[in-house]
Amino acid sequence: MVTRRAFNAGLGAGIAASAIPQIAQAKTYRGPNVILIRFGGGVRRHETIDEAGTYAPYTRKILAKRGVLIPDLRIDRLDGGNTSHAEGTLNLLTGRYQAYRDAGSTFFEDRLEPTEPTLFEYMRRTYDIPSHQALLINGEDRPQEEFFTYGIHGHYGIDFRSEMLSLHRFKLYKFARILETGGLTDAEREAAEKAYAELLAVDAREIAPDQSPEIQAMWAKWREHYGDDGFKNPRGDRLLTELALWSLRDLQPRLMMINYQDPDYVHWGNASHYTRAIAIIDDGIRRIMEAIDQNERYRNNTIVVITPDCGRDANPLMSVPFQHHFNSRAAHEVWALVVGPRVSKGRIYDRKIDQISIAATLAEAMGVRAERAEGDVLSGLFT
Amino acid sequence: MSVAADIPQESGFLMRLLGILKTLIIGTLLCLTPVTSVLVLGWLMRRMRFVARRRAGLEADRPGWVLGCRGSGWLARLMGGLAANIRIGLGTAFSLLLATLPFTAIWALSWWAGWENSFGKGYEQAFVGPSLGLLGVVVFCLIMIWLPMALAHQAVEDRALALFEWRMVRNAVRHTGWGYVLLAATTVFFALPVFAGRGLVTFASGIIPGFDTFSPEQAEQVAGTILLFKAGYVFVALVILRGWAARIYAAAVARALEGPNAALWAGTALHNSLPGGRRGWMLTHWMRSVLLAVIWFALAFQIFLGQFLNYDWYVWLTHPFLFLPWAI
Repeated sequence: MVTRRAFNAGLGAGIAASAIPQIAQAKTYRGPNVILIRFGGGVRRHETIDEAGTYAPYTRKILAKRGVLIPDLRIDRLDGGNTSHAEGTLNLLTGRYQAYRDAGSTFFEDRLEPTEPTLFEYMRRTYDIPSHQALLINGEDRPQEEFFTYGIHGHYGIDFRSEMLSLHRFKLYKFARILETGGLTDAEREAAEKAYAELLAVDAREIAPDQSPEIQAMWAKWREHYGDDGFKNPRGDRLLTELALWSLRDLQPRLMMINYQDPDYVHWGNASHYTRAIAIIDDGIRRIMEAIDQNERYRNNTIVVITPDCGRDANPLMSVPFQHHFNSRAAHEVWALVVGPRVSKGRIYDRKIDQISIAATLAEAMGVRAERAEGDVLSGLFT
Repeated sequence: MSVAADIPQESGFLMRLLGILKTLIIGTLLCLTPVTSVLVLGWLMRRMRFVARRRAGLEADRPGWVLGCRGSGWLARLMGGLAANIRIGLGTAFSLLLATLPFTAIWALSWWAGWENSFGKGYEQAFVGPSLGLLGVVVFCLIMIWLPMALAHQAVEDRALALFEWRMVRNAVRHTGWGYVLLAATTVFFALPVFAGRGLVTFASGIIPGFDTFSPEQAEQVAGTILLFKAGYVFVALVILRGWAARIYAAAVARALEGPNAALWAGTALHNSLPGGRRGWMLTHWMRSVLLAVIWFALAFQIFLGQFLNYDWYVWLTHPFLFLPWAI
C-alpha cells in the first residue's frame, strides 16, 4: 500500500524534478569541502573566545592559530528578530535575516522553515552533488531543526535538499526495518507502528522524502555497531561528533553543518552544564579536525567555519547572567573562526561583521552564486 | 533605633503614623539579608501572638524591635524586644526549616539531579527528576494545608517546635472556615510580585531603556533598588498575611473550645478565649482541604517558573512566605 506520505514524496519529487531543468546541467564540484560547525545552543564570547575565560581551549588557543578569528560577528537587531537557535541557524544557512516562516511553532519550540534557499540548495543546484554529501547533523532534542533540510523558495526546494543525520532519523530507519523484517508479535508490531508513526509526525510537512540508500547503509552499520536500544551510542553533543566522524568516513560530505546545542541546557539554571557543554564541543571540534587532517580527501581541502547560532545574555541582575538569550545586546554578539585552504593563519579579523556574511562568504568559497543571500563576502579572510 | 510598634493605643494619629513608618523602615531593612530576616521572623511571630490574643479578648503586649515591655527590669526593658525577636526568630526558623525541608529538599534534589541526568542523556532514568519534582509538589500542597495554622499555633503558644503539635494543629485547621481558604488564595496572589521581582529582571534588557549599556555601578544601583522594593513589599505582605492567619487561628481555637475536642485546648494560651461559633461540617472541611491543596499548587508553580526564569539554588529552600522573610 502506498501511504499518503510516500505518495506525496514521490509526487513532490516528480514535480520538483520536472520543474527544475538545472539538475541536468549541474557541474562536477571541484571546490573545497565545507564544514560549518554551529557552536550552539547560544554561547557568549567570554566563555569561548576570550583567552582568559574560555572553556574551549583547543578552539581558541590551538585551532585559532590555523585560521582567522572574527571576534565581533553580530546578529543585526531588527524589528521582529529574535536571538533564537532556529533563527540564528537559518541566518547562517540562508545568508538572510528573517528568511523563515512558521511551520507550527509551539510553546518553547520554534518550528521554522526557510523561505529562502539554504547553502545546501545553492550548492546542489549548481553542482552535481548527491543529497547524502550535503549533510545536516542534529541533536535529538531539537526535532524542530529537522525542517532545515530545504526551504520553500520556488526555484530551489526539495530537489536540492540536504539530508539529516540525527537519532530521530536513525529511529525512522530502525523502525522501518523492524516493521519490514516481520516475525513480530502483535504487541511488538503495534508498538513499532506507533513509534514509527510518532517519529513521522514530527515532520508535518506534506513532502518528507525517504533517506537516501547511502544514508540507510550508514544507519545499517550504525545499528550493527550500537544496536537498537539507543543506550550504547554516544549521547548529547558527543553523539553529533560521532555522527560527523562516521559521515566523514562513510559519506564523504562536501558540505556539512553540525548543529551542536548542549550549552543551551543552562536555561535550567545549572551554570556548569553550560561550561561543560562548551568543553565537550571543543573536544568534538578537536576530534573532527584530527579526522580531517588524517583523511586524504579532506586534508588541505576543507574550509571549517565555527560560529555560534546566537550569543547569550550578560545580565548582572541574575545569579547566572547567561541563563537565557532573550534578545539582549550580548545575545546578538557572536564570533566566528574560519580555517582552511587559502585562509589567512593566526589572524584576528578586527572588524564588525554581520552574521549573514558567513553564508555569502562560504558560497563564494564554494564557487556558488547565492543570489538571495544578502551578507557581504568576506574576501579579506583569504590570502 | 527605638521601639517601632510599641505605640500606645491612645497616642495621636501622627504618632501612630510615625510608628508605622518606623516599623516599615526597620522591617524592610531587616528583610534585605537572610540573617537579619530572622529578626523579622521573630517579630512577626510575636505580632501574631499579639493579634491572636487580642482577637481572643485576652491581654497582649505589642511587640517592639528592641525595647522590652514596660515594667520589666532595666536590661529587659532595654534589650528585651531584640532578645525576644532573636530567640523566637531562631526557634521559628528551625521549626520552619524542619517543616519545609520535606518538599524544599526534594525540589532542590529533583531539579539538580533531573537536569544533571538530562544533560548526561541518562534516558534510562529520565523519569527520576520529574517524578521527584512532582512528589515534592504533592508533599508541598499537603504540608501547606496545615502550615499556616501550625505557624500561628507556635506563635501563640510561644513554645519551640509547637509547630509540630499535630493533634492541636489538625484540630485548629478542622475548625477554620472559608476564610482560611481565602487566606491561602490571597497568599498565592500576594506572592505574584515576589515571583515577578525575580522573573522580570530576566527581561531587564527589554524593560529598562539602555540597560545593556549600564556600567556595573548602574546595574548595582538597579539591583539595590529592586531589592529594597521587594523587601518593603515582603514585609508589608507578611504583616497582613500573618496577622490574618493569627486571627483565623484564634477564631478556630475559640470554636474548638466549644467542640468535642475542647479538652485538647485546656491549658493552652487561648483557653480563656471569648466563645466562638460552631465548627463547619466534615464535608465542607474536606472540600476546603482539597481546595487548599489546589490553591497552594499555584504557589509551587510560581516557584518553579521563577526558577526557570532566574535560577538560584537557595530559592528552592526559602520563599519569603514559607520560611525566612528574606526578599530573595
